[in-house]
Amino acid sequence: MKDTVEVKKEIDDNQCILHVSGVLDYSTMEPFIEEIQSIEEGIAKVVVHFGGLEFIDSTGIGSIINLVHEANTKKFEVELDGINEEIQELFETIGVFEIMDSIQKGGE
Amino acid sequence: MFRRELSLNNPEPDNKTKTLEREIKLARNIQMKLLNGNNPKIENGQISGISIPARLIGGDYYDFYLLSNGKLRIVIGDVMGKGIPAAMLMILTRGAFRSAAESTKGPGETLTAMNNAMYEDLRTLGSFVTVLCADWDPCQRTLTYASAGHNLPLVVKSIHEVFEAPKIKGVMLGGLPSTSYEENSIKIEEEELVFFYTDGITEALNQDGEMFRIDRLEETLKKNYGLDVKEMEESITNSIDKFTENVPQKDDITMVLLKVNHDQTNITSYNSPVINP
Repeated sequence: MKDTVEVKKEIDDNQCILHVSGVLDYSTMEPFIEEIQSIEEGIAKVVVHFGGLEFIDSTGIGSIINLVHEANTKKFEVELDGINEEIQELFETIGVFEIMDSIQKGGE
Repeated sequence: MFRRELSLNNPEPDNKTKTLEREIKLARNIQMKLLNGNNPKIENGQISGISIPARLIGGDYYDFYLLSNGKLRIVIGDVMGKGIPAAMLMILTRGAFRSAAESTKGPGETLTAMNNAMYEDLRTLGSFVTVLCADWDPCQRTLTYASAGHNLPLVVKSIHEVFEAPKIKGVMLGGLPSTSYEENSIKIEEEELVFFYTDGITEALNQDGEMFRIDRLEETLKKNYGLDVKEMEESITNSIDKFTENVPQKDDITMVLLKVNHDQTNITSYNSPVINP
């Protein structure tokens, strides 16, 4: 497992797709944060594709939660895609999906 | 000019560095004393906890609170991030737990009170904490637990059997405002051991970049079934050390072990009054 993350951005009309692969943790997350911060106005939906994600730690999860809050403020939608079984279980334990549902349905 | 050069090249940065180092060491002392304090004594049973930060200070947390009804409230938590920022939030978590433990009926209520107390601060800081809270009833031998996004404890039943406590729902502290936490109870029999932990154990890396994982943890727990809590604690840390082969620890490692010995368990207090039933 390499201690690096690769983030590729793809813009399709008003949708932004972030392909994240490698390790998203305390020491590698800067490129992901930079891409999130550079999301332009007019984007209606951000899809984070985790197909190549090998590992994510609490700081990485924190950045996703913060993206969901930012989406709520800036009025765009967030979708997480391509999550492997292990990370799916981790997200369920921590409550990532519950938070996303609640915030995106205007629960906060 | 000459004086300015002297001050730029020489001792001021060193003094600042030394002061910073001294302050970090003091902060470490405070954290280690608050964390690794006295474990409560349990007659016919044992409880122990240990936290090993990856850096000088860390964001993991465990604590015990003896309730006036004779139950013991156990908490273990993991603050997002590492080092000094996580340590600061760990102290905030400790205060929230101590205050909530006194005024709440069960672990679910404790987590709700902690989340209510910490939510705004955690959101402002873009952070969160995962916490597992459990009440150990020594008379009924039941463990009632609630989780705020934390790993569930493992129960070691024999040399052949270990299982994870049944799943319950609950989001991390700082995740949602005014949220509630489910509770579940399990019976713990004589000679069984309950193992609470943080992910620094299962995510410990070896030289090939492989993780220790829950399988190795469960094998170590089963292999060492029957040991007392301190010996088990040592077996786990030795097993992790052997696996990681001196690869620097990346995440804080914390575990709490509760073992029920023969006969009825009675808790004797270390800092709170015990009301005998």
